Amino acid sequence: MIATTAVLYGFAVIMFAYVASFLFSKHTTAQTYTLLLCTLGVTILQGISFALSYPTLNVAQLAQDIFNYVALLFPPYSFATALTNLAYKTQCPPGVPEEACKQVQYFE
Amino acid sequence: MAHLVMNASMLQSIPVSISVMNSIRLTSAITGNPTLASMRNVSDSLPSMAINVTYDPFPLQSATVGVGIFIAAQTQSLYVASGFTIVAGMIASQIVHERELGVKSMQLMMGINRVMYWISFFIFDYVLYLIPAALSLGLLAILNPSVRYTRTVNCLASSICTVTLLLFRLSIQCRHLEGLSYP
Repeated sequence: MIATTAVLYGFAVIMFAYVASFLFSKHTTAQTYTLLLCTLGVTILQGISFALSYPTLNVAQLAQDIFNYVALLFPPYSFATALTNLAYKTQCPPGVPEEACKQVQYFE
Repeated sequence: MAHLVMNASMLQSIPVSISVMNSIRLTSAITGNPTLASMRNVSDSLPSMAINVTYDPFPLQSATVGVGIFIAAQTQSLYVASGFTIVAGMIASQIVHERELGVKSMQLMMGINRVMYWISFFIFDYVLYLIPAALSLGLLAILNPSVRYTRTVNCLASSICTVTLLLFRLSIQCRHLEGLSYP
């Protein structure tokens, strides 16, 4: 599944880079700012997503869904989200009751 | 024998706990030696006592384990995704560089189809992306089974993914080597 995600991410991020390349006229600027945009973007969006899903904030599920679907247009975020979902679904450790891992569903 | 159950998560309870333990010790001494109150040198008359401290924490609650797994998963995915973002910068740079040098304009003047121009770029970039991506995924496949939910899961996962990120970045930098093949 991770390999499939990585293969699909290749399509998305290359297209994204092509679109982003039209914003710049110098290749050094393009490299720096595209890299910065992607790295900061995925970190910030992941942080916002985590904060919105935190139970004590009581953010409406609709608001979380809207944010999530809009942010999924950003390829690095969609890749990180896919890896997160895959990771927690496959990392339920031995010895921990299955219902403990299912508690994570509460944060989605 | 007296048992004291204390909440280790409340650091403010330590003075109270010490006070309670002293009270238990004193009560035990008084109970064991009723004439204690009338004695002048109290320390000589105290029976030998010891406080045995045993650490037997309550098991983690399900919600705590779930949150731990969730945070570990988010940390790992963030590291890996950050490593893969390098691709975007490299590809955008290459496109802009061709435009800067006028190579794109020259090819268009020579009659190349715009669709073919972008498709050829895409195939080239995608193949170059697949090589380091496959290496990174292979590394993850080798190292990830060692990741288990322990107290150090975040540290361990972060270390593994940081190594992956660094190796991936190194592999991407190898793209610069292709520039050496041109005069």
